[in-house]
Amino acid sequence: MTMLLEVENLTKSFGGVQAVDGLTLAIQEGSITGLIGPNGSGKTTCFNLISGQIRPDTGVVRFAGREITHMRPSRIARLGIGRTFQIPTPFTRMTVLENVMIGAFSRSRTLGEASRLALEVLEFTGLKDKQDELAANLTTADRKRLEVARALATGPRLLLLDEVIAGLNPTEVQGAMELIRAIRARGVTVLMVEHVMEAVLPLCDWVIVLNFGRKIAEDTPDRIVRNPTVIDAYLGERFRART
Amino acid sequence: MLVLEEVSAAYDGVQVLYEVSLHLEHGEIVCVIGANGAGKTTILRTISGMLVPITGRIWFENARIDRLPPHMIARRGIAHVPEGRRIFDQLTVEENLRMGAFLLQSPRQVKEAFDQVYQIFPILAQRRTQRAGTLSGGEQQMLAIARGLMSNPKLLLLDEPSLGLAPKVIDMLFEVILTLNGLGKTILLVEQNASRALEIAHRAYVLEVGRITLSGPAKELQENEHVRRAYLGM
Repeated sequence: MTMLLEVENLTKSFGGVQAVDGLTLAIQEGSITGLIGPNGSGKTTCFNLISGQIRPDTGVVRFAGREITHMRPSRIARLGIGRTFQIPTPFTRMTVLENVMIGAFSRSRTLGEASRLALEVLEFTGLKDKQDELAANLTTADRKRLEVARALATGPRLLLLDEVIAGLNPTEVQGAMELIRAIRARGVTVLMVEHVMEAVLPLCDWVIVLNFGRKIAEDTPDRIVRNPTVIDAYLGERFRART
Repeated sequence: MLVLEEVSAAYDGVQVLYEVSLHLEHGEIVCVIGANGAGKTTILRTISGMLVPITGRIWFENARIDRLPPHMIARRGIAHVPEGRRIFDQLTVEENLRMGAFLLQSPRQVKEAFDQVYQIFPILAQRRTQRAGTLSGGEQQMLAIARGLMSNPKLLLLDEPSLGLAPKVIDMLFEVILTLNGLGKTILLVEQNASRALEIAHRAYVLEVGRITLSGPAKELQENEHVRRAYLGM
């Protein structure tokens, strides 16, 4: 078992609020891991700390055995961590292709190379037909897909997905799940924040649960849904009734 | 109570709704389900006057409202709780609620509205002086609904209230919708979470590419083969 990402005793507070509180976790290479927990439990802060958008107060983040704790986000991206954002923020007045090329520029120096990489990602994510559309004209589902495509264009070994399934209907959810499986099949490790259990449970090999910035459980999906602590804090009584 | 008759609507010349007809009776919960981009939000926007239909008529309590400005429609008793909550982040919980009460005439009415809302949402009473932007996602959604209730509406339009909420919070939210219905509020609900919406709705409409393609009692639609495949993921 090789751990691609290791987080040790990570802490971050905003004002008086302890957003992430002594968090330790490890992500196995090649896995799809779910990060779940109530709204405000520290999931997105955790992503921001791993990808370098914000600096932790204490603690260590190691990626592929190398400490990345205080590196700039651009450096971390080049080392192989890609991420999406909860609210898709494409460059609305640029085309889909141009948006993805911006991701590709993190590992290419020429227009031709970035364009080649971007087209390959568009093909893979099923957005090729829409390459010339302005990002502003995309539907919610395609905007989420574009968000994933931009992150993939950076050539990540680890992809952090922040609620890419929320707001999709069941047909679109199936499509997004297929895409995430295909990403893993390419050898990319996935860590995903998501509330849609219908997607998290079948997709993930492992699930980590946060509450008030702390890890309260981690386990396989079938055991997580029967964990009383997780039902109390997050899943609710409907899940208790199911078990 | 509410009747839409062959309503068509467009944004910048791009047509989104095609002759949509639907109706709500007093005391009903009715939901509209459909894919992203089908026009669900647009239906709500034409009802609340945010968008004027290009053709068609809308009646609320037997009076035409489709050419009225939004604040006049709100005055007649329709509150629109938009997708994505749209609360005022920088204002406190209480200030947000006060904004929802802008139509009320007397301080006594405002006080009654606050009392009712705080009774339904005790958590908001606890957080009344807190800035709204610091609330959790679930609390923000409750605040958005509470703000809509402050005008004491007869009809509540709810746009994707469960979006991005934790499973346990979604349970609470649907409980709240049932509570409001029990208090006599008529509810038009637009939801991506079709299975939960159909559980609590009396009737439902299916909207596909701007057209109503199916309607009926929610129980029947739950059993409908097409609905099960396309919207319930079965």
